[in-house]
Parts: sequence; C-alpha cells; structure tokens
Amino acid sequence: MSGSIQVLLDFVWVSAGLALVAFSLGLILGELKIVNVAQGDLMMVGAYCMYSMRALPFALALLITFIIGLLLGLLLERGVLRWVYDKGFIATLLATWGIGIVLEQVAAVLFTVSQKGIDPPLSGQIVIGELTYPTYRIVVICGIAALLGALLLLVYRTSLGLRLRASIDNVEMAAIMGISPQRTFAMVFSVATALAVLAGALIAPTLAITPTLGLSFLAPAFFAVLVAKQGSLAGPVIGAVAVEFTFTMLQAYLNVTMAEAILFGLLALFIAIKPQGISWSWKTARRET
Amino acid sequence: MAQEIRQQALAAGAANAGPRAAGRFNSGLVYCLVFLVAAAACPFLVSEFKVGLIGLGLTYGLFAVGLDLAWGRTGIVSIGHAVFFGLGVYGVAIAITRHHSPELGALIAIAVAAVLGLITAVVGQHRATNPSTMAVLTLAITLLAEKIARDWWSVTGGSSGLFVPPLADTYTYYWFCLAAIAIIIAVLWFTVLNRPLGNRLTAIRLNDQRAEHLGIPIFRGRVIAFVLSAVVAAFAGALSAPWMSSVSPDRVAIVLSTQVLVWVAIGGKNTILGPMIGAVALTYGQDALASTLGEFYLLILGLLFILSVLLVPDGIAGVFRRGPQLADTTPGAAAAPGTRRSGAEDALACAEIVKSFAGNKVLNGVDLRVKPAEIICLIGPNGAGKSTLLNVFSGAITCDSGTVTLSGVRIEETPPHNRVTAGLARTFQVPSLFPGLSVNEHLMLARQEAGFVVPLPASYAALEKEYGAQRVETLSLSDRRSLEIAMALCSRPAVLLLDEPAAGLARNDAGKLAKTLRALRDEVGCAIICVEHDMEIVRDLADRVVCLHHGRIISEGSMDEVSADMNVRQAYLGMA
Repeated sequence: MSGSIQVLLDFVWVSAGLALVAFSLGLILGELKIVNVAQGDLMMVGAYCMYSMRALPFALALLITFIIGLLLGLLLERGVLRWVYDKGFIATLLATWGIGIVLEQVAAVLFTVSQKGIDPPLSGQIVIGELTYPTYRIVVICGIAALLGALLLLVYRTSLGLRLRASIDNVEMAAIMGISPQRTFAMVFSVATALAVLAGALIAPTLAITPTLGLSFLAPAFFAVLVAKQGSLAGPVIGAVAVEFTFTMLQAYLNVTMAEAILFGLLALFIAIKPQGISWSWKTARRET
Repeated sequence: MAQEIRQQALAAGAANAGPRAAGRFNSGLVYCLVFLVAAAACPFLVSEFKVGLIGLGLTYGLFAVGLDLAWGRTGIVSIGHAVFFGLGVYGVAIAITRHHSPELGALIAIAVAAVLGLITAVVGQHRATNPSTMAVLTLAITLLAEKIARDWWSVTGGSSGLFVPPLADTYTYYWFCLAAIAIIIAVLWFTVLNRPLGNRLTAIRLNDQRAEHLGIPIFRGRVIAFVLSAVVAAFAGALSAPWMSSVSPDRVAIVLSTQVLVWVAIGGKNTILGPMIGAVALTYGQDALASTLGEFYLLILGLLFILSVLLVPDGIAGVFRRGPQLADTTPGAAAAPGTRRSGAEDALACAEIVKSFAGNKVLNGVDLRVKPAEIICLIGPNGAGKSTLLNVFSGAITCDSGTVTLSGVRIEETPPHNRVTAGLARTFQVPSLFPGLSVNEHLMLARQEAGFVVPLPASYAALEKEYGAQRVETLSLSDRRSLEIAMALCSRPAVLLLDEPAAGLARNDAGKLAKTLRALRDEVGCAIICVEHDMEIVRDLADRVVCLHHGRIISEGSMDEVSADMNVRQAYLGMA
C-alpha cells in the first residue's frame, strides 16, 4: 500500500515540474509560434541562480530568480528573437537552439561542468501511514498546482487572458483590435521564460545541477505540448500529466531506459495517428460531433 | 537599412546571374578539386597526430554534408543528427570488439540508420504534422540514443565506451578515408544534387506549395532527403570510428548534434565545401584552441551560431556563392507530346461537392461541367466558396463528399502533384513562386516536371526572353502572374485554374488580360476556370459565367443572362 502511494506521489511530483515547463513552452509556441528548444536551458539557469544564492533565504532567492527570469526573457526576445520572426520557422528554431548552446556554455564557464547541489529549505518528512515523503516536495507540488491554477484562471477568466487568447488565435486580427503584437510577444516570452526558470529553481534541490540538466526535460515537455492542440494553454498541462502517467506505468514494468524508449515510441505513434494533437476542450469536442 | 542592403544584394544578384551561370559548375568543381588536393597533401605537411585530427575532421565533414542534404537542400532541420552518425560509429566499434568484420558492422548500422530515418521522416513530415514535431522527434531520438548507449552495458560498454585498437598505418587509412568521402560526394552529386531530384528538393525548400502544384511529390521528396541524409551520416560515422581511440556515448549525443549544426551553419548551407570546411576547420580549431580557450571555445561557437542565424543565414560559403541554384535539367526536345485529348466529353466535371470548415458548410452541393477549351468565370460575393472550389479542384484541400472528374478520370482522392501530371495546373491569388530563383529556373523546373518542352504562347515566350536571367523578386506583379501562368502551361494542361488573375493589376494590364487569356486558350486548347471579381474582364473573357453563393451555384450562362438574374442581384446587392 505505502509502495503505491509512494509511486503516486512521485508521479504527482514529476508531473508538477513538467506541467509548469510544458505550460511555458505551450505559451511560447501558441503566441510566438516558436519552438523554444532553449526552454530546458532556462530551467538550468534557474537551478544555477538558486545555487549561486544558496546563502540567501530560499524564498528571497526564489523571488530574485524569478525576476532574473523575467529580465532574461525580455533580453532574449528583444535582443535575438524579434530579428528572426520574419525569417521563418527554421530560423527561430535555430536561434533558440543557439541561445541554448550559449546558456549552457556560460554556465560551464562560470560554474565548470562538475555537478553542484543545493539543500532543500525544508528538510522534514511528512508521515503518511507507513510512508514518509519529503515535505519540500509536497510544498512545491501544492505551490505549482496553485500557480498553474491561477495562471489558467488568468488565461480563461480575465480580460487580459482574453486578449492573450485572441492574440494566439489570430495575431493580425488582434493587432487591428489594438492588441500590440510586439508588446504581447515580449510579455509572453518574458513570463514564459520566468516560469521555466522558476520550475528549474523549484526542482533544483532534488537535482544534480550541471549545465546540460535541462535537456532531459525538453523532450517530455515538448511531447506534452504536442499531444494537445496547438494554441491551447490548458492542453500542455494535461499533456504533461498524461506523459508522466504513461512513463510511470511503463517504469513499473521496465527499467528507465526501456521505459523511455517505449514512451517515445508511443508518443511518435500517437503523433503519426493524430498529427494535430487532441483537442482537450470539451466545448469544441461537442460541437464537432 | 538592412532592408535596403538586401534589396541591393538582390538587384546585384539579378544582374550577376546571367554571365556567371555558365561558369558556376566549373568553378565549383575547381574549388572541390583544390580542396581534395590540399587534403591529400596533408600527410606530407603536418605531423601524424594532426593527420589523425584532420582525418576525423573530414569524416565529420561528410557527416555535415549529410545533414545539409536535409537541412540546406530540403529545409528539414534535424537537431539530433548525431544519432545517425553514432549508429555508424558504434556499428564499426561493436563489430571490431566482437571480432566481426567492420564492413559488416558498418552495413548493418547504415541499414538501421535508414530505417530509423524513414520512420522519423514519415512521422515528422506528414502533411498535417506541426513543423515543430520534426524538431521534437529528432531531439528525442538523440537523447534516447545517448541513454541507450550508456545503459546497454553488454553491447556498448556503457559510459566508458568501447575501445577501438589504434590504426596500424595512419596514412593509408587517411587516404582511404579521403577517397571514400570523395566517392560518396561524387555519387551524391551525380545521382541527386545535379539531377532532377536535387532540383525538386530545392523547390520543396523554397516553396512547397508551388512545388506540389508543379507536380512534385513533396512528402516523398522530404522523406527521401531525410533518409539519404541519415544514410550519409551513418556512413560518415562508420568511417570515423577508427580515428577514435574509444567510442563513447558522446558520439550519439546532443553535443555532437549541436556541433554539426554549427559546422553547417557557419561553413555554409546548401553547398558541399561549406559544411566540409566548416567541420574540418572547427574540429581542428577545437583541438588547437582547447588548451587556451577551454569552455570559452564552445561559447564563442554558440555566439557565432546565433550571429550566423541572424545575419548570414547562408554561412561563409553562401557569401561567395553566385549564380543559379538549380542543375540544368531541361528535357530534350524529343519528348514533346501532342495536345491532351481524351474521349471524355468534359475536361473537368464535379458533382455534389460538399466541404465544411468546423461545421460551416462552405460548399454545399456544387455541380459543374466544363467542356474542353471552355472558359468559365466563377463569380460570387465574398465567402461564396469560389476559392474553396478551386482548391478542391487542384487538391489543395479535399472535399468531404462528392466527385471530381478530370478528362473522364476520378481525381477527388488524388494528391495534388498527381493531378498536375493528369493535366490540371493552377495559379494562386498571390503569385506563388520560388524566392531567389530566376525566371529561367522557374520555367526549367516546370519543364523538368513535365518531362517535355512545349513552345509557350507569344506573350509568355516574350517574358522568358526578356527577363529570363532576372530573379522573380525584381519582376512586376503582372509579370509574376504571367510567369505563374507560363509555368502552368509547361505541363500542357487540359484544365488551367486561375485564382483572380487580374487582382492588383494596373488598369491597362488588366485590360489586356482577357485578350491574352483567350489567345492562350485558342493556342493551347486548354479549358480555363477563372475566379474573377472584375466584371469587365469577366464579360470579355468568359464563354460561360457561373455565379456561386453560399456554397451553391445560383446562376449560370452568358454575362448578360447572369447579370439579369434576380438571384444574382439579390446575392450581390441584397435586393429583393
């Protein structure tokens, strides 16, 4: 019994981190139509920020890291990405790939490639029946769930969210109605960057911090985005849960590498069958039938 | 400012295209031979260690050329190409450790790479797939391959990798390597790059919509390019194994995938020497500068990569590259066919066409029969479904139900490129051409796909003669429209579909259009279906006017009959 609760909690823990990254990826893909392959490296930036500020109180370090994320996003969008929007999909992909290389190498130069680690701010364990689970993870799970809930409410229930969704749906039309694409792009990229940086910062205490740590999150996060319809913002969150659920199930019977191989195979098969992804929206689904 | 420079560059390119066109093949060949001689002379000039390094660089160069087949030529980016290279490396290394012949290992690895490339391309290049999918798939397989290489201890030796015994004779293997690379590249040149296939790949990269409507199967083209690219990469990997003292998981990993992108980007896409020199120079540089620059070397490369994406997308070789991008594949005169004739009564017919978008019925039961050499003008208010109907005919979209028949053959399920071969050609509302190519190259592509050369009607032949060497960006709108029609005529179509051929034309150009098109019809004998808003042109042009409203044909006949029809008046003006 405690074994299965352990598996369940681990599943929720990995889903939470992935969901936050997938949400930020989906936001960028939806609004800027860019595949940001530097997203994993942005998580790495978050982890190293927390490492550099390990002497500060955790909450303060987290706040500063988030602000660094916002500024970094703004810098990358204004400094690099806006020059490639009109050069086509491949150029934007390569530009973000280049950003990823540079971020990794800056980290390698500053911190060397040897593993770093930080201690979680809460070292206690929560006791559930016979099982103990790290308090820090429980707190982070709740925190991410609350954050994602708030973000989704913001997107689907506020006028700011409506403007964002309008811009995602049709950027020209939204521009005609007074929603500036430049400002929306800068804002969205900045916020999405900060979210990825935050995700990296939050899971940093459970990771071996290296310059390439982000890469292992990138592929699952993208699959989480791809299984949902493009432009949907709730989709990647559900996608992340679905991807991690499948992965957890496969790991119950197989070793990690085999499980990952089969997971990627299944996802490739899924994309081959449903190239546009699943539309998670209940309303749209109903209209089509 | 940047815009201005680009404009100037375009104009300069246009001016230069003509005289240099003839010399390009030769100058390219001369550069390649110089490179080959220089590479062959290396063992006499540098130490044995450096020879090994350059040998490794050359195999990396072949790997980069392989990636360029997909990326530079065809426009498919792979951010995990090291997986194919790594398959080759491991194939040879595993064969050697288990005392099998390395050639067998290489062959098996190449076969596996081909299959893996095929699966990736089929999934990632499907028409409905998001373009991001390919990036994600290639990224996922390279990450996975690295994990497998680390964990499958019994076969790959895990993280410590496999030990490859040092070469008995560095120089012999160096020349063998060089010869093998030269042969592979020559084979690629004579079977792909300098052949119609190479032109097709370029066409797909530049404008896949236009390529498809010239009769090029774009999905198949992309899959072929990617599989070829994977095979060349695996071959390069197999050649490179003996240069490595140990084969470790890095060889399939993301870092190498990134490096090969950098080599190609900085060296120059869409050339042979660019990726080659990029790989050799940067591999050599990495070794030479590793002690002084350390981690900074890769950081500088990353910054150079971003700069090259932003400022010089064609890399260093691209700066020197001039002249046409296509091989001359104009078919011989022998193959010219007669007029398309079939026993069928109608050139094109459709019945009960229904098409809806998200529940909104745009076409709601359209029946139309077009006689051979008849000119039909489709009119109707905005949103009537005119362009959609044209797209259903050309295959750009498939209808939900109903039938389309071309010269007696059902085509509603036929993909667009096969409809072109069957005798259907089209133009687009905004002229769809290949950016950067000259008028001559456009027509050559169209003739290559047709497989024959037919004389063009006088006004279109004049365009070819006058502007042949110019890039299409420098043409006026009316000339660009004419070029599109000229390309369509190269396939000697039975039916020509025109989407608003007069839109945006100056008054006097538009006035001439009806006359030119009627002359064209008389000379070529094709039926024309034309969506047009300008009623004066419709009156001059049409044999029959068909008015569409809310996805149905509400009136047809002569211009006078249709314009007198109360239904039409109501549709346009809302009059009772």
